[in-house]
Amino acid sequence: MSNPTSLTLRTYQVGFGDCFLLTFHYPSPTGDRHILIDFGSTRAPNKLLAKLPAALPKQLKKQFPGLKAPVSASKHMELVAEDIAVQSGGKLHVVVATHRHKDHISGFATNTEGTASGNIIRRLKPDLVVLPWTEHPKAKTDAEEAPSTIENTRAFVSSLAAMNSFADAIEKEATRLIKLRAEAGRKSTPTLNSLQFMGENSIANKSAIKNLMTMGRKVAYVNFGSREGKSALHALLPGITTHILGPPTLVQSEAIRTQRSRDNDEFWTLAATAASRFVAGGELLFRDAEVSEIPPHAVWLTTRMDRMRLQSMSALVRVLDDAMNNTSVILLFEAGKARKKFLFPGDAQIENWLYALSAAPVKERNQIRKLLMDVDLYKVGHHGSLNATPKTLWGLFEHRSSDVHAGRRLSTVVSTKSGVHGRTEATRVPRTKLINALRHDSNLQNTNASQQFFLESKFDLQ
Amino acid sequence: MAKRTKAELSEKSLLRPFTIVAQDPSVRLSKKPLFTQVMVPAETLAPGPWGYRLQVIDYDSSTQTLYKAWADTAPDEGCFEDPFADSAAKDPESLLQDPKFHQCNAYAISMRILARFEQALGRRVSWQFKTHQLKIAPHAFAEANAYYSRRDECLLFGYFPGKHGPVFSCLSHDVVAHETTHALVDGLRQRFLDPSSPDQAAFHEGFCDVVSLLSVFALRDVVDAALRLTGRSNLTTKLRRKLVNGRVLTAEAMRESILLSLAEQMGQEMSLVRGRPLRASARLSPGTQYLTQAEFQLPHRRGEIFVAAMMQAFLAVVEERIRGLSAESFDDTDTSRPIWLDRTRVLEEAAKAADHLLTIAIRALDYTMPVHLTFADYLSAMLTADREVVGDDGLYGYRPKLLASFQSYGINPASDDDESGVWLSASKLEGQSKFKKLRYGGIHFRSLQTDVDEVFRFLWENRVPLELTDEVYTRVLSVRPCVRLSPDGFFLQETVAEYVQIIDLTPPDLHRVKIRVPKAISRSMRIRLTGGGTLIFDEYGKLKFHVHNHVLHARKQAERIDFLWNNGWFRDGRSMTTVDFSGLHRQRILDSPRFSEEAWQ
Ligand SMILES: [Zn+2]
Ligand SMILES: [Zn+2]
Repeated sequence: MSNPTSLTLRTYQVGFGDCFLLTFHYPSPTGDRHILIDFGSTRAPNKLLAKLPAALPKQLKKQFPGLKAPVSASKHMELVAEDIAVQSGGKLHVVVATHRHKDHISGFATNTEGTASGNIIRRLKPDLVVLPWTEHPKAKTDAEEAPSTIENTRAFVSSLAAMNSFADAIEKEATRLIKLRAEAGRKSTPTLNSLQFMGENSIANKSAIKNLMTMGRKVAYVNFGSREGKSALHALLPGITTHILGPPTLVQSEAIRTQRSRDNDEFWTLAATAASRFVAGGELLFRDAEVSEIPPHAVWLTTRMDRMRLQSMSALVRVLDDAMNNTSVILLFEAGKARKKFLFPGDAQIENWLYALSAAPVKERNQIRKLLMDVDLYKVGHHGSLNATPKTLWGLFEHRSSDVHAGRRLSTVVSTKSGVHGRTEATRVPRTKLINALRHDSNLQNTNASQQFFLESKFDLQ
Repeated sequence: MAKRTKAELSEKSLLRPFTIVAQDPSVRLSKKPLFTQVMVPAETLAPGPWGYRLQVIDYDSSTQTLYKAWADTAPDEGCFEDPFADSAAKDPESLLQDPKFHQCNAYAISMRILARFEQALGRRVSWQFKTHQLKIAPHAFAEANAYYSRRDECLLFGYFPGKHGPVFSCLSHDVVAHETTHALVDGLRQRFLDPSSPDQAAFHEGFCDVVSLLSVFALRDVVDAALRLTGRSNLTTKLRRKLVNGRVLTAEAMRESILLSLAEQMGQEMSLVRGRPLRASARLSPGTQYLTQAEFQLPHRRGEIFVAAMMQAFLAVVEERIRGLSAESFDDTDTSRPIWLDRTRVLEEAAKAADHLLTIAIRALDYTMPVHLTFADYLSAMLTADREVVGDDGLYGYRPKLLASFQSYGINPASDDDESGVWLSASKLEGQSKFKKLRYGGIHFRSLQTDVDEVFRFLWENRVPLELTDEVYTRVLSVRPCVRLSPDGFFLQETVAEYVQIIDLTPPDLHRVKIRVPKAISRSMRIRLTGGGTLIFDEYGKLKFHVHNHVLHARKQAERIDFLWNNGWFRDGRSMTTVDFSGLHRQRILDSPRFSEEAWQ
C-alpha cells in the first residue's frame, strides 16, 4: 500500500478568510493528491492587491501577461483559483468547506459567464466535497437521527437559515446608516463597520453552496465520527487516516444544547422577520397612528435608543456568528509512515470542540486526546479569535516548545487580517495574547504579517 | 369590572382609574381580551403620559418613528375619567392596536407597582439616577426583548411579529411589572447589580418575578379567570354555582392548577421576551439539591429557586386562610366528602395573602445589607420585616411558612440568633458580655433621621462595637425616615440608613488580611472589596438592627473572589461592570453556558 512521503501546504493570502491547498506527495504511480480546505474572503488583502500583478507567482504572470494594476478584489480571487488549478495540475481530489461563512466559501460562488473563481474550481472536478451535516439538503425535512430529535434538528437547521436572513437585514441596515452619515459628511463608526462586516459575513451564499453541492462526484455531509465521510476520504487518500472531530450532531451535543434551545431556534426566525420588516422607511407598526417630530426634550433619549439598538444588533450578530462557527467541520489528518498529524478545525469554538474533548465516550475521548497531543500542524481556529483555540486543546499539544530548534516543534498557521473583526480590545481578532503564545511556542505562519500571494511549508512524512 | 362612584373619582381623590390589559392580549375569555381597571396616584399628566415619576416617550428606534403622545383631558366635574373604559367595552380589538392605549397601559402598570413599593416601605423611593422621572419607551425596538437600563434611565419594551400581527411586550402586565421592579430595586440597592455571587445575580430576576406574580393575585378578575380556565382538575366543579370544594385547594394542588395555569398564560405569548421562568418555578417541587447543581448557577435559572420558595410559602398561607373559611374540620378522615366554600371569599383570601406577602417582600429590602446579598440574608430580612409589624403571634403564621418553604429548597436563614431566623437585634447584642456599649452622646436624634453626616458620626463613634474597619473608605449612602403600617392598622416608625466600605487590595495585601485568592490572579491586580451595612433606628433614635457584611470577612470575600475569577472577572480587558439586563434577558432565551476558562482573555 502506498504512503505519502511529504506534504506541501499552501496558505493563500485572501485577507480576512481561509484558503488552504494541501498537496500530499506519493511515490508514482499514485502521484499527488490535492485537498482544498475553504476558499473565501470577507475583506480583501489590500496591501497585496497594491503589489499585483508584480507579486504574482511566475506561472500566473506568464498565463496573464496583459494584467494591469490595480487588480480588483474579485479578480484576485479568480487568480487564486487559477493558481490552485496550476498547483493541482487541473485536478482536485477533495474540497472541504468547513462552514457557510462568507470568509470560508465566497470563492466557490459562480457566475453565468463561467468566469468566476467558483467556476474555475468547478472545472478541477473534485472527486469528493466535504460539508458539515447542517448543510444536508434533507436536514430540514429529514434527519438520520433518532425520531425524537428530527423536529429539533429541523428547527435547528432552519434557525441557521433564519440567521442568514437576519444577517442580511443587519448588513442592509448598517449600510444604510453608513450611507446616511456619509451624506451628512460624517465618518462611519467602529460599531457600524463591525455590524456591516459581521452581517455581510453571515449572509446566505446560495451560489457558493449550490456549487459545492454539485461540483463533486460525491458529497459527504459529515459529523463527529461519521464513518461514511472517513471511508470516502480514505479511498482517495491512501496512507492517510482522517479523523472527523466535529461538528457533533444534536444527539451528540445534547449535553450542551440546553432544554430551552427550541425557544432559541424560534427566536432567530422571529429576529429575522422583525429585522427585515421593521426598518426606517419600511412598514409602520401602526397603520393609522399619528407620528410627531422629535421634540428637543426627547432627543437625549432617542439618541441613546438609536445607539442601544445598534449595540443590541451587535450582540445578536455575535451570537449568530458563534453559532455558525460551531457548525465547522474539524478534520485531523494522520499521514504517512511517520503518522504526522495535521489539524484543520475551521472556525470551531469550544461548543463544537466540547463533544470531542469531554463529552464523547471515554474510550473514544482518550484516543482523540492521544491524537491531539501528537499534533504537528495546527490551523488556528477562527482567524485567531479569543475563543476558537480552547485552552484545553492548546494544553494538549505536546510538540509546543519555546526552543526554535526543537526537533519536532509544533507548526501553526493563521489566516487573518487585523482591524476587521471585533470592536473592543477584548474581542479583537486576532487576539494578541494568542498570537504571542503561538509565536512563543510554535513555528507560526501568519498571513497578516506577509504580503506574499501564498505562504508555503513542507512536511516530511517518512 | 366594577364601576367607580363619583366620589371615588373626584379630583380631590388621591387616585385615578386606568384600564389596562389584565395579563396580555393572548389571554382571552370567551374569545375577548381581558381588561381590568387599576387605580394609580392621581395627577394631572402632561402629554406622554408624563407625570412626576414616569415619562412615556413613544419612540421606535427600529423604524425611527416617534408616535404621537396621549394627552390628558381636564377633569370633568372634578372627576378624572378612565380614558379607555368605554373603548375597552365597545371595541376591545381596536384598542389593542392603539399606540396611545399602549402608552397608558405601560404607564399605569408601572405607576401601580411604584405606588405599591411606596406603600409597603412607608416612604418615597428614588431612582438610581439623578433625575426624578424614569422614562418608558413602549415600542422601543423590533426585537423580542424588554429591559431596564440604569445608564439610559429608562424601561424599554420591544415588539415582534407574531402569528396574528405584532406582539407588544408593553401590553404584558408581567413584563411591565417585572421591568419596573428592576428599576425600583436598583433605586433602593444600587450594588445588587454588582458582580458578587450566584445568589445576588439571581436575586434581581427572582424578586422581579415574585413581585409580578404576587401583584397579579391582587387583580381578582385575573385570578378568577385562571380558576375558570383551569381545565386540569376538579377545581372547576360547581364553580359556576359560585362554590368551590375546599378539599382540592391544598397548597400542592394549587401549585399544579392555579399557579401553573397562570404561569402558562403569562408565559405563552411572551416566552420569547421572558423565557418561561414562572412555569419553570411552578414546576420546581421542593428539594435541597438545586442550589449546588450546575444549571442553577446561571442567574436566570437560580432565580427560579427563589421564586419557587416564595410561591410555595404563599400557597401554604392561602391554604390555611381558605381552611379558616369553613367551620367544618378538614382533618376528618373522610376526604371524599367535599367542603363547599364561597368562590368570592376564596379569591378574597388569595388576594389578601398575596398582598401581605408582597408587603413583606418589598419591606424586607430595607432590612438587607447594601452589598453582597444572598438568598439566606434575604430570608432573614423578610422574617425580621414581618416580625417588626406583626409580632410573635401573627395570624396565619407567615413566618413559619416562609421559613419552612425556603428550607425545603435548601435555603436557611443567615441569622442564627434563634430558631426564628430574624436578625439579631442591637439590644440583644448589647446584652452580650463581649460587646462594647453603643454611644449616643452628642448625636442629635432629629438629624439622625435625615442627615447622612449625623449618621456617619454615629457610625464612626461606634466603629468598635459595630465591628467596622476604619482603614477603608466609608460612606453613608442614604438615610430615610419611614412609617410602616401593620395589617391591623398600627404604625411603626423607623429610620433606615445604609453605608458602604470599599478598599482596593492586591493579592499580597489580601494575603496579609488572610483572604485567600486564586494563584492565577496577577500579583499586581487590584481587587476591589466592598462591604457595608444597613442601620435601622427606632422612633427614639436607638439602633434596632445592624445588618452588615464585613469588608474584610476572610471566608466570604475569598469565596466571592473565587466565584468571580471562575466567571471570567479580574482578567485583563475585562473591567468590573454591573449587570446588563439587555444581555441577561436575552440570555434567558439563548441560554448558552459560558466557558471563560477556555478563552484567551
Ligand atoms: Zn466563521
Ligand atoms: Zn429581569
